[in-house]
Amino acid sequence: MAQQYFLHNRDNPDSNKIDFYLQNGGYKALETVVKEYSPGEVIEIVKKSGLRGRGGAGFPAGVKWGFVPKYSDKPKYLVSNADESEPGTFKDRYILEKEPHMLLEGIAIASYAIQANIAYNYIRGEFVYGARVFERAVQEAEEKGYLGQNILGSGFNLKVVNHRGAGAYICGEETGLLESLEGKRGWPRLKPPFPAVEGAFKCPTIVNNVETLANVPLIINNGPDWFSSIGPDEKNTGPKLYCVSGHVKKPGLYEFPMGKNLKELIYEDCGGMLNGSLKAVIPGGSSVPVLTADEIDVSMDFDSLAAIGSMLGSAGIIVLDESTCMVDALLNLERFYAHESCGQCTPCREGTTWMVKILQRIERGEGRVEDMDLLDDIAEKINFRTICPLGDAAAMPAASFVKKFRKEFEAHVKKGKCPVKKDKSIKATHAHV
Amino acid sequence: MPTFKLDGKEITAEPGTSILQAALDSGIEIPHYCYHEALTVVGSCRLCLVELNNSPKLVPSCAQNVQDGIEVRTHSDTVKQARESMLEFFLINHPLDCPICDKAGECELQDYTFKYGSSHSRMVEEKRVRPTKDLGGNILLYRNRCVMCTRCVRFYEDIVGESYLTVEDRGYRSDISIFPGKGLTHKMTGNIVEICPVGCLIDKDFLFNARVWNLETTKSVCPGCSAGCSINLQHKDNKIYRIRSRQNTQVNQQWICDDGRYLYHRYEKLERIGFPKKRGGEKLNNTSWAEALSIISDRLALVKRSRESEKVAVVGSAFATNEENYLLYKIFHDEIGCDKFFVYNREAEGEDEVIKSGFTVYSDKSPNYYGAKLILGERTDFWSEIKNGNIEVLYFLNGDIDIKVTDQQKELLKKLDFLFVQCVAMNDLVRLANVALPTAYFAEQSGSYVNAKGHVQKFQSALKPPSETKEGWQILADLYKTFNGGVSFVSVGDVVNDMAQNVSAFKDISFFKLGDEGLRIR
Ligand SMILES: Cc1cc2nc3c(=O)[nH]c(=O)nc-3n(C[C@H](O)[C@H](O)[C@H](O)COP(=O)(O)O)c2cc1C
Ligand code: SF4
Ligand code: SF4
Ligand code: SF4
Ligand code: FES
Repeated sequence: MAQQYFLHNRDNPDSNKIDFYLQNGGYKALETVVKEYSPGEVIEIVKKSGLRGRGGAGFPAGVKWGFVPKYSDKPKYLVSNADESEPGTFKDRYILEKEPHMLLEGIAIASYAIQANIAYNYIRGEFVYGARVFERAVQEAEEKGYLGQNILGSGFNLKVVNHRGAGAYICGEETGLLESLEGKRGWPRLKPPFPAVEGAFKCPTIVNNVETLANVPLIINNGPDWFSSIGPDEKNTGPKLYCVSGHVKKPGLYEFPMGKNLKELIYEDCGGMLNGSLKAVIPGGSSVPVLTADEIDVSMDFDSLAAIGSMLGSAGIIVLDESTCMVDALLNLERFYAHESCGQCTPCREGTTWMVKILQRIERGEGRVEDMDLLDDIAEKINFRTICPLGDAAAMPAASFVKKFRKEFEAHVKKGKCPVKKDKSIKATHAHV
Repeated sequence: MPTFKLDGKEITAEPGTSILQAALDSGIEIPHYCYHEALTVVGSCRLCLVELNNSPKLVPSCAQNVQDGIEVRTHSDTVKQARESMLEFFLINHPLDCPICDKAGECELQDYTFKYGSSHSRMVEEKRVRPTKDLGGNILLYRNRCVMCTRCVRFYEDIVGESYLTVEDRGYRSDISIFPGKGLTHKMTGNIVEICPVGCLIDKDFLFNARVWNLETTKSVCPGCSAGCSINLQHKDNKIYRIRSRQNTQVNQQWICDDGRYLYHRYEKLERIGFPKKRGGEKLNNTSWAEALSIISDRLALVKRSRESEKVAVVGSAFATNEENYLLYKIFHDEIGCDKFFVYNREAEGEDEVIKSGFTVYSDKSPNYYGAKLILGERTDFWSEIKNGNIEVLYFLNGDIDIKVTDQQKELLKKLDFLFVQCVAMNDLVRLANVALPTAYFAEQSGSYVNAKGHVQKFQSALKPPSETKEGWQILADLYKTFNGGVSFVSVGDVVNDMAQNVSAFKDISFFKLGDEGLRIR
């Protein structure tokens, strides 16, 4: 098994304590950074590493940090996005609960790079345990002088504030998050301006995913060249967490280099299919286009998945076997998006619910021949026409399900009922981590 | 200044102008709901999407500023298609209850659907149905008709400066809602009915009263206070059905307060005078206009002949038009030689009320104090003058429907030899008069007012006064004719022209030049 950087301490109950972290070389990277590097140098190193955002869009982290206006006299903020709510995704939760100091060290380095003196960790409301662990970690780090005033004698100050969300998926979208952080409704903002220029409290703000930030100390400790040597090419680099759920023998959280082969992951590491044969895989969290069983011999990285019309997204891999009704599965997804739409923009607010109603009807056996085209058209009319990408996230699965599993949709219509023999026996008992 | 192409046409606009506003300014319609020029841009309804040469996505034209060299297409197939689908989205849960909706005829959902939408919907599922909510005050929320543009929410945040409304819940369950413990009682509330693009916010005052296309509109000026907001009177069969704000960037932007909006009901309930009256002992008897005027002119001619003009005084009014006050001055000063002119105004009520946008409801509840003083001078204390016995003949032009005359003042009025009054409704002045002349109120007459900032605005009569009641300037023009048959004022415009020559503040002003928005005095 390849070397692991996140999951190697998973069985150690003390992995989230600072003493354990320090014994294993923790906070060395921060020390190096504040003592030896200028903020600009840190940004250059991260750029060179090729680290891309793990929150979904895969934007190069160093490049994003570089967008913060250097000569602005406004305060700057760093936000760690720990809202992890994408269905099928459970990697940030692991970091928060088991490796909070990796995250904190990453937060401190990133804050130094953009010269922020306040960092927020916006954590999903349901992560009660994670929030408690994180807050204890902050306290430990403050006591040991890795956070707070004059960190390690460098003159750099950083206050880390844990901010608990109230249970809305949309508050994971970075501008919805910022509104929520400011105490308002989590309504995503129009962009531009981008948060790097005008974010929290109208000040330059960098929002990064938890996993993105947790990678930063590794880059500093081992060097950008080491980091970029992991993975299939220089644009898809570093270690990566993969969340596997669904009809496999061993679902759970896995760590491999960027670019793990999906087929191998399912059939070897996860022990293959649970009962039936494979029907489909959603590779990057619920928002990305679905893959058919024939499409899974693919490298799990940003560009390879994009090349076959899907996305790495949050690397939440949802495996579906033949007992899954694709109409039902899409209905389940769309119900989620309709429920989580913030309701600002018309296409997302109205379109998602409309799709739910149509899917419910098809699943009931009251579908019409024209419904498939209608679903496809609604998806098209939502896609790229909304304020935030939640609209796209609702549209992409719909379009891909209808396109790739049209026969199954049509069978519902023809038979006047759901033709799939569903397996209701599966229970989530095989957690790997 | 940025120059860009709009549907192939070269357009230049101020930097910082949105594409949408630039298009509207140059006469190209881009349908929109959430955008409102007075409110923060939110770019959420997505109806204003246009094609831009340098963007792969359609962009919301309300949220994108003009840039030099860009090419915007507002009527390409993609844009048309996007609009059509957006309108379909707006309608999937809409009840299509135009036949019973007060907004029908001036509804942007109707208009846009007709112009840009499709005639059928592909939605076959059941629509969401929600009961109508009473938001308090005069406002009903017909929730099924809402397009979630949040104009109403932003109106309170941006213009009033105090939040009353918010969006509750999210997604398709989003619902306009009022903060607990609040009713929609703020004085500026009626405006949200006007800015709601659809029939979601409905004014109980107008509910089921008329179809808007049957109403006639007359431009007017609110007499509710000295802000002098521009308004439209909407009427039918000689009755006002509602008052709407009229845009005037120099006065009220596009807002009016509810005091002004519902003011017309006050006039409906007045006990009008009906006929010119003359005193016969203890009683007031109806008489003809000819007789009423000749009693007055005979009495004044006597004063003039006996060179006793110092015994005559005139009280003009902050509630009367410039034209009325001016003719009063012309008659009494030029023809009688009187020099005792006073201006009546009611005591100010409380404090001026200023909201976030700067819009002010004035404590001076008269519409024309400024103008009256320009014409008649600054003197206001006629009561002590009467008390001192310096006045025997008094012409009292009023117009204030809320005038209060104290017992003490009544006693003073009884001391007069002759009291002539010109009033809108029965009141204590009329009851004590020797001759009383029934005069029209603002909606029944034409004229001009000067607001607290010195802005002159004209207004036109919308209603016919009761049969024996006349417009104030007309009454005074007739009275003037009894002294000087050589000059006759045929229209209110003639009076303005004459005033422009004789009152320096009104120099160069004519009724025509006042236009829709009026002019600032000097
Ligand atoms: C609807 C929606 C939900 C999102 N939820 C999350 C989330 O829970 N966590 C996260 O890190 N990013 C989430 N994102 C992506 C963020 O907007 C943002 O791109 C990300 O936090 C940037 O971090 P990165 O550059 O490190 O990936 C979401 C985006 C959308 C559109
Ligand atoms: S796309 Fe959906 S979630 Fe995003 S802003 Fe629009 S309505 Fe809200
Ligand atoms: S009530 Fe009217 S103004 Fe308010 S959000 Fe709905 S449609 Fe817009
Ligand atoms: S502010 Fe004054 S003038 Fe304006 S509408 Fe209200 S009462 Fe009328
Ligand atoms: S008017 Fe531009 S998005 Fe609503």
